[in-house]
Amino acid sequence: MFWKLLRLYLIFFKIGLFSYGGGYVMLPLIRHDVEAYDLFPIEEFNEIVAISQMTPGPIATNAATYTGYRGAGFLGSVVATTGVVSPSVLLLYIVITILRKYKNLHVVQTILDGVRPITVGMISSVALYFFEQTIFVGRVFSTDIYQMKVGFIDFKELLLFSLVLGALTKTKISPILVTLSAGVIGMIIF
Amino acid sequence: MKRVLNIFRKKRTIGYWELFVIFFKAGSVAFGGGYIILPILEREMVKKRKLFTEKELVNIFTISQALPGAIAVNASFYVGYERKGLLGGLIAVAGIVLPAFISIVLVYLFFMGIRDSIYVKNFLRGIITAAAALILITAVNISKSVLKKANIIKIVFAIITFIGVAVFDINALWFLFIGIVYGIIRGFFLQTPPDEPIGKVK
Repeated sequence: MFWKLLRLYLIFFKIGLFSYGGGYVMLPLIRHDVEAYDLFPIEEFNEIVAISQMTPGPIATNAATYTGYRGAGFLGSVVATTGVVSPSVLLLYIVITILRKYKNLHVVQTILDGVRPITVGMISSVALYFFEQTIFVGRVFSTDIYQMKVGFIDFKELLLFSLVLGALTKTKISPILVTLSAGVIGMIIF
Repeated sequence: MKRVLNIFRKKRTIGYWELFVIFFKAGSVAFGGGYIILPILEREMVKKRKLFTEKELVNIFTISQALPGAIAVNASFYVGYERKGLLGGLIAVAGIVLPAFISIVLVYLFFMGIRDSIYVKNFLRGIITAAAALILITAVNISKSVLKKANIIKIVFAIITFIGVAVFDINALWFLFIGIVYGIIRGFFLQTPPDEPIGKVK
């Protein structure tokens, strides 16, 4: 049992370390290790994707929890989830320590200053992507013509979106309450 | 004047339990990608408690996405660690991960059948719509605060990144690289001070 847990920890530590650029990148990695170490029957692999989509949280930790649970029960899921977040904690600990030490260096400040507008642009593009996916159920502003959907607007989505936008900007209702209410409204109107 | 304000700001602290609750709440509604926790952190940490400025939060997300691992986990650790040390960082990570952990174990044990339920699908669809509105508001707020006093180069950077990533599907790391190079050139060759320093207020 101990070795099984240690192996789970190390597998997910590795996956956490190499999952660069979003959760879906690591699914092939997990698939490979599930097969290589015979953690559970590979036919069940698609369950990970299905469950990850209907539960909150990063796909990386969701997949770790499921695989750990399937492989070694409750303790397995704790160990695998800890494993997948360990690299994040370690690397950030190192980076923050270095940053704090050199944060008064002029060049460190100008680098952070130069990078900040890039993050703003990225967050804005995420916002546009979400907007497109809800209102147009596909991409509108894209050079990839196969993904383009012009002339289609989901009016139910537009209605719910406007409602949420109004509630968030004009009232002081907490965003979490607004989000959950939107889920309930979604059950009724879609 | 600025020093007086900083002392005032330092007094506004946060307890471990409060930290855990904020991240647990954020983790409970974090459907559809790591950036979704940004609106909640912006509200709880910047607007309500004034523990961070908008720009500090942007810095945290910049570094979080440049490192491996889930953005939400990275950002949670960073936020917790910045204000409450190592234990704070670990508590924040536990808070963000636990809702997912609990719901997966519950779904596995009891609700495997609800996977194909149309009600669950539509509930999630409604949540994603709300997430779209939340992230839009946050994007506008953050653009305003970061680009308000920015020079023309930085505004152009933000616009190019936005169009490049959103329309042309270019990997965002290329733009990060450009931002770093610009920062280095400005730091070594042009001695202009940056807009706002990062890090703990001393």
